[in-house]
Amino acid sequence: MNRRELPAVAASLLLASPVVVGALYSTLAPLGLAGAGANGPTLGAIGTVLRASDTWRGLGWTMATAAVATIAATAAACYVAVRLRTSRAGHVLAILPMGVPHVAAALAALLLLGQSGFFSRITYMLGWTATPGEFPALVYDPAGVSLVVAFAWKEFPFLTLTALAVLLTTSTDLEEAARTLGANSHQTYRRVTWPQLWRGLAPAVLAAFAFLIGQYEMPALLAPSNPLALPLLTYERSVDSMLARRAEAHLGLLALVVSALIVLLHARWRAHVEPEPL
Amino acid sequence: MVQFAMIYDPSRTPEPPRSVPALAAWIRSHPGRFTYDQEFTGATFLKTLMYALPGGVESFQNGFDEARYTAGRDRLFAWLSSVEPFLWREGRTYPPNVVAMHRLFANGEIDFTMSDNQNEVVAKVREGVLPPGSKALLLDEGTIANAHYLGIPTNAPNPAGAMVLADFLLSPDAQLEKLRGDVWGDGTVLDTARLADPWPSRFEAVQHDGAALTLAELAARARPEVDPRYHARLVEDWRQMIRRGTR
Amino acid sequence: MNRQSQRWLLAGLALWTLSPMLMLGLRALTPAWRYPGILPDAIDVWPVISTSAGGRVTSSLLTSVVLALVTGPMSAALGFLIAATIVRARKGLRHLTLALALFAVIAPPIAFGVWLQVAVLALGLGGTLTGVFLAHLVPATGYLTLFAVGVFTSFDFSLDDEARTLGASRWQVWSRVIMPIIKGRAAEGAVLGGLVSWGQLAITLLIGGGVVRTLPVELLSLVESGNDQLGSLAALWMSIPPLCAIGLLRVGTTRSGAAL
Repeated sequence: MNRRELPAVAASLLLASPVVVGALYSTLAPLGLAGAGANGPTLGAIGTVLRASDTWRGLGWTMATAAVATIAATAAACYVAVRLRTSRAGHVLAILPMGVPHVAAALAALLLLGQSGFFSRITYMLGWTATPGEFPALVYDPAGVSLVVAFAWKEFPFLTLTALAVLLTTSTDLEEAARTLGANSHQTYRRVTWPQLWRGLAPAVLAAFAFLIGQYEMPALLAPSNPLALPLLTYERSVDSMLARRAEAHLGLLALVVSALIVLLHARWRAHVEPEPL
Repeated sequence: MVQFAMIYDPSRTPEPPRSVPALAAWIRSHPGRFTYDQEFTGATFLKTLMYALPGGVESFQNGFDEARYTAGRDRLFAWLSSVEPFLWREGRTYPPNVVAMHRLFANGEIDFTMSDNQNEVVAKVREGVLPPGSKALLLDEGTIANAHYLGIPTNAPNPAGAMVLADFLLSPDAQLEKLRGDVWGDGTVLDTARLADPWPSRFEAVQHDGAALTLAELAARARPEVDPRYHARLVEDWRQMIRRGTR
Repeated sequence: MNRQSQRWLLAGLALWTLSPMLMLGLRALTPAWRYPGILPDAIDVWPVISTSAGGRVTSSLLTSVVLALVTGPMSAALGFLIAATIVRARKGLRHLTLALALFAVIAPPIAFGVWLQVAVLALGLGGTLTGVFLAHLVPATGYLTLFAVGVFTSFDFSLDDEARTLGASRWQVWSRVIMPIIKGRAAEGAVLGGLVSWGQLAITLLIGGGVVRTLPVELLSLVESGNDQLGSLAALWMSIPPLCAIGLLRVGTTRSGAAL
């Protein structure tokens, strides 16, 4: 590392330190090595948490809903960024929801997709349903449909903004070259545009996915009670009336571990795939 | 001082069930129209049922007893199993909290909601959150009454100040303010008859809201809380055995 | 893409983006909107007015604005600086920095917030605006680093190198070659950073301790009380300033002829 790189590294270390130290603490606390009521090294709390099938069901469900939403939002963001590259109206529309907070997005999803929500009232007006019960259960449902939709709606602007930023900074030379050589628009997209786009977008996609795993407010409004999403399970434990069980809330750590794993995986993948810079 | 009450809409449910057996019958004849939540209010509902089923809260008083708990829990879960297919969403999912229940009730997805505070229905109707005309309902077997408490930690840096605050909160001024429907609607712990004039009449004046339950009704059906271990065990067992579905 | 299908796509995008926001707007008009009414039961905006006029929503709005205005440019400056430096650095360094940035963004606040809260209280920053600002800077800069790396990854550094060969100093390269190209992106980055701060909830609660009341904190409090009308109102207040910021940005970049 030379002198030129020092400030950047120092800044990023400094900024990430609260998170890193916090993560360390969250690792030590369930082991009984830190925090209030720490009695020395113990694997008791961790053991209880890891043995509980609720933990794994919650993690699995949370990851599945986050994955589906992120994949959908990424696909849509790429499509919109490429198709509406030069449309100012498109940019504005795509990025508009950035300012809407997660809680609000979840509330809107509840009001629109609930069994007594806006769409249900439309079907009532059209004579397709007569009671709220006849409308499909999209809220508090085991498939988490409304939650996935709300997740995707919220992630889409960030991903589109990043995709647009990548596309706008990339020169169109390669694409034009491909066109002159006879490639149609589909081939150009697959072989030229998409790889460039993905290189710049990948960190954002992974960030979006991992962020959803730790999101609490949206599942709190939309998720079912069974399987119970990991953030909800964590919260329930942390306010449990039995104080001993509150230590199990550290299973929120799991979400952290998953995030860390994703970060590592991405780093290895990039190392493998990326050519050295010029 | 608050008491658990169910909430219903007379225009939708002109003849609500008023006892636990009547409730079970009502649920069976109105599939998909009743549920309870996962948080404290739902837990209070379950405890109310648990006390009612063997014939009274007395059997659960005088400390925690494992055998009595298990018997009570099994009776309760048997009752719940018998009505489960007729609950909202067939009992496969439960609303996250009482606020979600209020929303479902207001929009006609379910016909009952609940509250730990018998006056909440008055405040929420005034706000427009609950439909106009919604009323509170007590079960014949009794519902749980509770009070709020203040505690001062042993390592508090300013215990004197904390005690001054506690004194203020117990004063007739603060208790009256807390009682007002547009503030909190939370009952007073003071015995208003023993206060100096003009306090008794001031409290009287606030208590009388047409839709509210009378003090006599409340007192007749109030049941106390018992050892907290019953609550903790019941909540945990409910989560594992009913919510999770492993029985 | 031909004009016609582009119009369809725009229409679909508009529907997708705007329907939730319209829903909240309608919901804010009335305390009661019961099934199966398509339109609100009765328009009654008095609760909305009395809450807006009330101190709580206005002061939390101001707090959020101040935090966003400071966090945005600061995080953008840091993020672009870090990205510009590491994007051509050694692989190991690059990956480490990206990993740290990613971690700062995605780590659930519940996981690291408790420790952070203890440390902040010890430093005497608990419940202060400064403490909350510093806490907001963490995820904001994380996002900005990722964003800026995206920008620089596709950046054609040959221009940079050519200018150096022709004798330009590092500062001249930055100000005359790099900045003009990424100016639009840098401005967008500042907006993004501000938006990240604007939307923070868990961190504000943990560090601010309920004393520093930003708009998301008020919003959560209103939604949790079950009053959907006031919750929708707070949600709209939360959404409007960022919309203006984005709109202004669009106008600004178009006027200067940048990028679009």
